Amino acid sequence: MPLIASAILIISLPIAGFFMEGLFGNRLPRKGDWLATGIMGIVLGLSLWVFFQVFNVNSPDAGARGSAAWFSMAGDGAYLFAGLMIDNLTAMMLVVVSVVSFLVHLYSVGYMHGDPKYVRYYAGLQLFSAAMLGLVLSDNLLTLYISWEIMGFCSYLLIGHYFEKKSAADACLKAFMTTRVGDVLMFLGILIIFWRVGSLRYADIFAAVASGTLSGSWQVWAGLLLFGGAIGKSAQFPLHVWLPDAMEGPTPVSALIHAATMVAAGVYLMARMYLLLTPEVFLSMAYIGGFTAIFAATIGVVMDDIKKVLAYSTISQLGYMMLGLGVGGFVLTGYTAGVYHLTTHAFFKACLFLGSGSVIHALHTQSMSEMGGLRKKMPVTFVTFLIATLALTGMPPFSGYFTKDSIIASAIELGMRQPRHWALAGFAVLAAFFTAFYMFRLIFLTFFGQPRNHDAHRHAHESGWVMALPLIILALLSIYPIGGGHGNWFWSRNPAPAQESIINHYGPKSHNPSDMDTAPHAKQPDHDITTLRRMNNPKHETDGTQNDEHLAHAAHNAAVTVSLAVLALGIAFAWLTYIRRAIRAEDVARRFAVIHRILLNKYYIDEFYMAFVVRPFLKLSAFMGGFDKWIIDGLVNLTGILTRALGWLVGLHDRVVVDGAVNAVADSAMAAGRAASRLQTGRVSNYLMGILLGMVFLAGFAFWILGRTG
Amino acid sequence: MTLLTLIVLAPLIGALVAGLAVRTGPASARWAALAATGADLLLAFILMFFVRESPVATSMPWIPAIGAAFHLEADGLSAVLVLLTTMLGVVAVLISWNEITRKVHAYHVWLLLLQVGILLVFLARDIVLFYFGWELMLIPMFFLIGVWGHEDKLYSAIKFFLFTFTGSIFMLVALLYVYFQHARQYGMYSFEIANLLKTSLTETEQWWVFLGLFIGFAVKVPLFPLHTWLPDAHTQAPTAGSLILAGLLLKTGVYGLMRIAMPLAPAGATAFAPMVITLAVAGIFYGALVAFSQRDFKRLVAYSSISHLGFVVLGLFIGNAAGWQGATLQMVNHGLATGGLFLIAGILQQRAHTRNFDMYGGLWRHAPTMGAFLLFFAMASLGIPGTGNFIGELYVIGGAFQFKWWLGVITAFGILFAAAYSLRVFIATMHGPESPTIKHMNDTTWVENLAMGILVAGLIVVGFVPRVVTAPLFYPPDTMVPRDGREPATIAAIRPGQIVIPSLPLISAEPPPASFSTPEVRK
Repeated sequence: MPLIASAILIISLPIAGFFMEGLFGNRLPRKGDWLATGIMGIVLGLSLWVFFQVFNVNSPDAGARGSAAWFSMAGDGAYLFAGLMIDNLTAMMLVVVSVVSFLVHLYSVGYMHGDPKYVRYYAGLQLFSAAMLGLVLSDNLLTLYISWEIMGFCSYLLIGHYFEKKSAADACLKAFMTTRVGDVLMFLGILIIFWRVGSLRYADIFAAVASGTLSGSWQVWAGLLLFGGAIGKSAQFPLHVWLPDAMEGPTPVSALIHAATMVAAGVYLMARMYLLLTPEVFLSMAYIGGFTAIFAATIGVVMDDIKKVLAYSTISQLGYMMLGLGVGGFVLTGYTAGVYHLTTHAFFKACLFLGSGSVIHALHTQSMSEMGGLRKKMPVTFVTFLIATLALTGMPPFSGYFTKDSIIASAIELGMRQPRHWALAGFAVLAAFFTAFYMFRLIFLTFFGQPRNHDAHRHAHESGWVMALPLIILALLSIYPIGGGHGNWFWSRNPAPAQESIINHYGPKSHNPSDMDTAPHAKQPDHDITTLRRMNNPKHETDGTQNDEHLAHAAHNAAVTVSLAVLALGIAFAWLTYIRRAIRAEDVARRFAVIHRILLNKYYIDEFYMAFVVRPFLKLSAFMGGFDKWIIDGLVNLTGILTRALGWLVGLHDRVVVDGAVNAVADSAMAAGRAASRLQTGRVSNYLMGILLGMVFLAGFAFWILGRTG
Repeated sequence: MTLLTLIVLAPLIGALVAGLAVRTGPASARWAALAATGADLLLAFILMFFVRESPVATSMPWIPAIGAAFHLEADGLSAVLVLLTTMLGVVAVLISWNEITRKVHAYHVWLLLLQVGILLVFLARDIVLFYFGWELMLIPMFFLIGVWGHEDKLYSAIKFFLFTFTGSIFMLVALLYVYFQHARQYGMYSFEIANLLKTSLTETEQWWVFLGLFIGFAVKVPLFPLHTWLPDAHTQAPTAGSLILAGLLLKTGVYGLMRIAMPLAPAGATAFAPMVITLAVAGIFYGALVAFSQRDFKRLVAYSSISHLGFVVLGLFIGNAAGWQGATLQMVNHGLATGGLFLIAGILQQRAHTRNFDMYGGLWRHAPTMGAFLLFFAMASLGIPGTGNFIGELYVIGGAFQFKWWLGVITAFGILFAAAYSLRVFIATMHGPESPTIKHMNDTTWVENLAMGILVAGLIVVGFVPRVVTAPLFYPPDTMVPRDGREPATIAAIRPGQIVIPSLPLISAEPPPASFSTPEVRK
């Protein structure tokens, strides 16, 4: 089967599933849950097949691309294309998406059992999966944007699954509107590219960048605006506010959409458009990403809701990915690190969310203050949760260690090269400390110690196999040899073709020397990205000299040391606070009451938006509504009253002074009025009177003009 | 060609039958109307097929003394709008099936006469005939609102009538002026649009002519700030009335601008363009903001129409190919999507006897089908990809961007506002705790589903195959779409539907090509 055919199948199967669920879901056996899960199983199989065909195959024929002219904005020519492509990055994303989506489908069979809106739920999952797969398979920005928006719609639908609750209804609105701010920016970026390049296919865009068709400030703005879209979708500061609220959705939805796939779409977009980006954009990404990482991590420390902690953790980790990609503009390892963190994060964060779902399912609460001591009751959940936590916090040999470490190393390397950007490394390291602390706080509060709500604890039990199996699989994927880490096939080759040269220089060499020898053209640095990078960015040129390698080594060593140190420190603090009780959390909170309050209120960002965006909008809207009602309508009604008065005066004048011609006019008006007086109004005649007078006036005016010009 | 005559006659015959059958039960009027509109829809499809090669025309002398002829002609644009008209005609009959129980025969007579008037406007190529159709639309609508409307029907009906009637007088004066000028220059009286277009007018004359025509058409569109008749009329009209008002009557204004005002006085159009663009953009935001503040379902949708029509007028006056096509697309999409929202409003009002959002809530549980439809129409209204509205907005904003980049930036934020009010419609009715008003509300019936299904299908078709709307604009004689801005791109012309499947070299083991100006195609 040709690759492109399987790509089409991968998209169309879940679409078919969506229609089947949506149109006759209620009539399907078991409301179609196994059908949907089965479809995702097939998609997973296809994705794996594609993956092994394409990924890491060092041949010019690997991968595929196909597109069809769709429509043309300019009339003739310059058609916009709808198309698909498969390359390394796509192949990797396909596997990530279909694995998580399949497992979430499976898990939901147990988690959503008995839900009254079961069919709607599965229909939403199917459409979402189709959109996400379409996004990664797109070979152009147009279909990418379309998938992007449809994902947003599905996210809206699924966040609002429990729409009877006002909080859920508010949350889905907030999510949609906030991400749409980013979408508008992205839309504009796409328009810039379209009118400069004449095409939205990636290949054409990169060609235009290389040939200088798209350059200068247009290129910078295009990159920045696309990044604006990524900020919205990937919940980066300052548009991160929707993601914590999105936890109102069912927990499997949070795992799939708001942890593993959709929120990573922004990161994917930036990785995909890498060749378009300029140093300005890279720096914005690095700083916004880095700041988001530390910013969200600090909030995660004080949250009580288990899903909120994970949500802030997701924001923080997405910040890491952005940081990695941004730093990658100057330090070659950054790109790889960012993209791989996306992969590993998808697995361990999905595992964490599904694990928390398992806990919530057992206890019927999300508040950690009502949990505790679940270790023995829910052993599978506990162990898998612990593995995923270790991966997230960056403990070797779990997957997160390799990717996160690599991001930190890249940031440190950038700091070494350019000391004014040291703050980025600082952000990354500090965030790692907070990550370790809040995750172990979560573990200790949930699984260790004494149960704080005995009733709930007594009824708690391990979930059934449909829920346990996804946890186990995801946990396995978070362990070194499978999910990530250098030395295995996953790490050995860079995902993006253009990035080949980077890995030739740095990736395998700095991580795994043995791979160096197998890479056939390891010493050819001047692939397109490198030349392009030099062109864009002559100052930060990296030419693969000995010196650079030393720097990379030093940075890597420093990163390992520092990140393991802060990890240990974070765990130790959490242990001292929540197990040994040597530090009393309440005392700390009281001592730093101001900071505590700021953190609890999430830095008052929501309040800021409320005061400076939402309320002004509502006020303006209400004002405009009043303006329309009282001023514009009022003017009209005033005119009506005046016309009536005038009509009355004219009528009086008629009766008293003139008859004949004017009377006839009035009579005809009256006749028209009588015709309409079946509607029981006397006013029509008066209005018509005014109109007739106006007509006479205008006709006279017209003839006057005619006479003048003629 | 008698096809066009048939298209105009079909609803007229339906009206006659429905009127003559007044002694029989109400079903006869409904079936007659359905048969007439259904036949008309079929004819419109046939017309779409015929106009591909050349415009379809029919002409016979009418009032030779003044040079008026019964001249109907359909090119691609007319054919698209006729198709939209007949489609919404069927939907209007279907949605009235259960709603109208009073004076059923009279209702359908007016409804069908209304369709005759609209079709005449879209097909006439003679000013007298055009004006006849233009005024013919008013009277049935006046009665539809005035007799079958809601609580404030009289006020609204009169306001609607006066506004559009006053506007049309300005239009008439301008047209008469051109008529006399033409007679003076060519020594013969003719109301043929084609002849009038030959009249040479000075720039000042064009300025005045355009102003007159513009006032007439802009009231109908309606362009901010001439919109004030619209919310009242929409709100008070029966469901089918709102559907046709929003879906078609507003489009006649745009069509007049496209067909008459802009070709007749191009210099005037150019002179007015900055002002019109300003008003259109102001309307986009004003309409959206006011819409958001409404508590009445129909009023909200009515104000959203002002916003959507702002996009349409903007697309026309930026004067490039993308904008022009976008305007046409948005006309069709707005007719379908806003029509759908009005249908839901009507269905809800019929069941709950209120349009107030405060009285609704949590309805999706009771009425899953209705909720799905409303969700679809709300999403279409905010321009979700997959519906025609996305494509239309892409064209219009893209065209605006091509015209002046900052204009594109400003209008792009319009879609953000559209999201706000569209979601408000959905959330206020379907989400939240269950309201007592809707405790025992039924889900939609199959007739209603059919009516809405037609609109959904239309929106999806336009969303995935926008060529169904844009391609007819380029049918011969192909004089509608502005020429400039056709070639924004460097990529060579490719025929639609052409499939390109190159195998892309993904991981190049060889040294890179010296320049990578074109994507490498192997095999």
